[in-house]
Order: sequence, then structure tokens, then C-alpha cells
Amino acid sequence: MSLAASAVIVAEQQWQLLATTAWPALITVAGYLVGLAVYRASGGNRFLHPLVIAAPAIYLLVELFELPLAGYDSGNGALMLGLQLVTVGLALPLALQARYIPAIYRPLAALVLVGGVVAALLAVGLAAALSIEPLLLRSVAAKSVTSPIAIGITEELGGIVAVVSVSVLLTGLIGSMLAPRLYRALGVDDDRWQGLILGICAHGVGTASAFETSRRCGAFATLGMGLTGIWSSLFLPWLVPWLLPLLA
Amino acid sequence: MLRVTAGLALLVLFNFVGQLAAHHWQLPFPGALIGMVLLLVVLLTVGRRLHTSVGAAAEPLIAHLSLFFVAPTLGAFYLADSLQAQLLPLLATLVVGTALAMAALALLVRPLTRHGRAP
Repeated sequence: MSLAASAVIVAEQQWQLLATTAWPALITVAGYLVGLAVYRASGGNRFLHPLVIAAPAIYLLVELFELPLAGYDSGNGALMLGLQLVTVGLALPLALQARYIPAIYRPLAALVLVGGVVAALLAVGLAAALSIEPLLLRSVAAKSVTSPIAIGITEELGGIVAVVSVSVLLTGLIGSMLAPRLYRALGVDDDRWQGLILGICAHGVGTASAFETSRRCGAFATLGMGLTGIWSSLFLPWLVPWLLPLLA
Repeated sequence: MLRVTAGLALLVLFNFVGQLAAHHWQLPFPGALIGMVLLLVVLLTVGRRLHTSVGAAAEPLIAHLSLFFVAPTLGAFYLADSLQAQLLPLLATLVVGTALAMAALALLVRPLTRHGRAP
């Protein structure tokens, strides 16, 4: 197929995301605004993350009024396009952090390369040890990767997008809660490494909590999150298909 | 406003190029990610002047990152039936896996930074 023909198909796909957008998008935005209001009113309590409120609230609304769910996904097309655009936009915080890299690139690269693989191996390995079914194994492999990238990777792996979305959220919450105790116990007192590890293991939610420690901690978390996202999208599509037969 | 529009146009453009590359060469990476890497390369090399306009469009989006995950997360509620028996092992995997991964990296920090110039 020629490049021009591909361009037409991709342009049509992108356009369809906008063209199919309908009322479900309004419900999604409304649910998010409620979640955000609760989160802010709680003073940023991590257990009340906007998603923790918004998704159940919309679920109740849909069940209560027996709304037709058939068109829910396509009706949210504009938000799916938004997810793609915000993923591209993550290039900006990464570009702004780039100047920190040269001085410490060796330990930084080692932590990102090892961390991404270890997080994925642990997720898939533990899940297999607890005899979780293969479809779900494919869905938790990207749990430590920032959601926009994790969703893309999981589609690539043939996992369930909804499962990875929830797994990513929970991983972020768990990581943020464990971090202070873990760092104290293991003697990680430099806020740069504290931030980097949070970004590698607990992506966006971890990054948000890293910013509460210090600006520098947050900057390194952003870096860890972005690099882990790129690195994971490179190795996971090869690692998981290779790993699954070994665990079966 | 012009900045936001210009920045948004850049995001749409880079996303399109990324999606096109992923589709045309059947690459195993998300198209948006390819777009992100291309934009990163441009921002770090020839496009330093683009920082403000990309920022004007990207920063409000990043500030409301969770909005874009509401719809995908909702699907999990409709999976609950098929997940039931697997729910606890799944939670255990997430808790133990995340704790062990963070501990492993925390233990790596010291040996990695001991040699040579401390960062």
C-alpha cells in the first residue's frame, strides 16, 4: 500500500473519532468534574483520586437510568483523540527535563532499563504464579507504564484495556503510599533518586506525589515516567509473547 | 489563544505522523508514542522556539490527564463478572509487584552511584 493511501486511512480514522462523538462524552466530562471537585475538596487525598470517584459515579448513573452502553466507547471518540494528543504533548515536560540528564546519565539509564523490565517481569511472573489467566497476564504487563502509553502497549499485546487502566491507577496509588516508608527503610535520601524511582514504578500518580516532596523530585519523576514509557513500548511487545509460553 | 491553536495544531500534526508511521509500517508501538518521540526530537533540536506554543496546548491537557482515562476505566466495572475469581490474585500482584520493584530499584541506587562522581 502506498504511503498516500495509508495517510487517507489514518486521516479517516482520526476524523471518525471526532465524528462519532456524542452524549457519552458529556457524561464522561461531568463525571470527571465531580471527581475533580471531590479530590480538591479533600485537599488532594490520594485515595480520592478523580478516577476513583468518576468511574463509579458514571457506572451508577448508567445503571440507574439504564442508559444504552452500546455507543459509549464511540461516543467518547473526542476524548480518545485527546488521549492521543496528550501522549504526544508529554514530549514537552520531557524536553524541559533533558538538561538534567548528562550529569547522571549512567545510573539514570541503568535504573530505567532495569526498572522497566523488573516491574514487568514481577507483574507477569507474580500473576502467573497466582494462576491468573493468560488474557489478564497480557493486561498487567504494562501496569507501571503511564496510562496513555500503557493503553497503546496493551492493545498491541492483545490484553484488556479496561484491566490495564485500573491496574495502572492502582499501581500509582500503591507506589505513592509505599514510597516514604520504603525510602526510609532502605536509606534512599536523595530526592532525585526518590523521584526517579517513583516515576519508573508509579508513573503519573507517583509523579504527582513526587512534586509534593520537591520540584526536583517531581522533575526526576517526570523523567523516569517518560523514559520508562518509551523503553517499555520498545521491549514489552517482544518480551511478553516470549515470556507467556514459558509461564504457561 | 493563537499560541494554543498553534500548539494544538502541532500536537495533531505529530500525532497524525506517528499514527501514519505505525499504520503504514505495521510498527508494534502506539502511533501517539511515535508522535511523542518525534516531537521530543524536534523540541530538543531545531524546534526550541516551539516550546511556548506546545506548552500552551499541552499543559492544560496534562493537568487534566485523568479525564482521558475515565472512559477506559469504566469498562472495568463491566468486566467484574468475568474477573471475580481473579480479582484478589490481581490485587495481590499489583501490591507485591510494585513493592518489590521499588525496593529492588532503591537497593540499586547505592551501588550505581558509588563509583566516580556522586551526582
